[in-house]
Amino acid sequence: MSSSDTGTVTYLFALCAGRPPDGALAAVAGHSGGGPLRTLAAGAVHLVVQDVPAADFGERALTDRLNRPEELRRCALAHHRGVAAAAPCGPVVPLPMATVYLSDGNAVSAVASREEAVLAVFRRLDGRTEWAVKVHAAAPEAAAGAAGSGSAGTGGPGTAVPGGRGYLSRASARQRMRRDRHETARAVARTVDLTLRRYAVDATAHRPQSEHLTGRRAPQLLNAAYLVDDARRAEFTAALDRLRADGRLREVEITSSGPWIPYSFARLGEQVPAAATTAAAGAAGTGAP
Amino acid sequence: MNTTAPAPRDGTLDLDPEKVADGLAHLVLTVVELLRQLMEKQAVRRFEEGTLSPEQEDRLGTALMLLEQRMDDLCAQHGLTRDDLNLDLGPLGSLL
Repeated sequence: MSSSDTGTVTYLFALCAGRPPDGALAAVAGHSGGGPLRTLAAGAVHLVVQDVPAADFGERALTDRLNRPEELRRCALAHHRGVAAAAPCGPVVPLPMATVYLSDGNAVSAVASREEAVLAVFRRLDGRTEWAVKVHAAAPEAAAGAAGSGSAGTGGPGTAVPGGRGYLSRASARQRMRRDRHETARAVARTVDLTLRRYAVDATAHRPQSEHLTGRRAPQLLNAAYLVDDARRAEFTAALDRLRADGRLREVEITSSGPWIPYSFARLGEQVPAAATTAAAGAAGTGAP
Repeated sequence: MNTTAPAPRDGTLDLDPEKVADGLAHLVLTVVELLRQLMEKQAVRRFEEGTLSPEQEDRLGTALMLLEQRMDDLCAQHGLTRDDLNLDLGPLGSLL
């Protein structure tokens, strides 16, 4: 039992519609230093929780730990294990990482007060999974760009105009080419997004990841998540395959992963009518660079 | 906790004295490269508009060409490549 006298707090991983069997939860390693995973009930909602040391999960300690990439990674993996443990028992609402309550009672009453919203999200996510799709400019573009900027100053093969004017005209051609390539790639990314949206219940565009994060030399043009009905999963993946095989889309590289627990679509407290959700997602899609 | 001090976040300034000089050169060159690219863009814009006389075009182009060569030399001196000269501005994308 979590309380201040035992020095533990209640870490909440996920909410689920069905109660995961204790045996399945006990086999899952949660956060290090914590107790075994267990469930609590708040009305019709089950909570997957773990007792974790208060010293490691206080506000100061958490901020400090999550600022260190290695700690952050360990914490995220533990969080995902806890969420995944709940997944086989029907729809799951993953909580944001590091959702901590002082006691079981606090966690239960916090969830109970929003039971209706939670149940609505369950209904929305039931029988649906998330697919992540990223579109990068194709690698040859980066290579060509780098070679272009390198050779400009030294003067190209004999055809180029020598001197300062030659340099300016080469720089002008280089800039125009880069612009064109960029625009084409962006248009292609938009096509990919619009095509996939046709097979998805909902879609959301995340901020493109930096090249530092992706480890690629090419800019990320689309970082989207799609909520796909299990019944349409085959259609969705077939559409992805068609896009990858499409010769007109050579400018980009499409990577996808899934099915995932729908992290991107399980936000509580943003319950808006279905029509408004679609409109908001559409706006986010077109607004994203 | 087995570490004595929190490790610096990835991407934050590392104030190790031996690395500071390198880091400073890196930063200065990045800023110079930003200015160089801005100047080049502006020059190309004027060039494309056709508002420069041939002599102006030649002088401007030569200056930019020399500046570019000088940047290559400076990068080589500090063991950097042109691709290193960039800053991740987070939500704003990269600087260059």
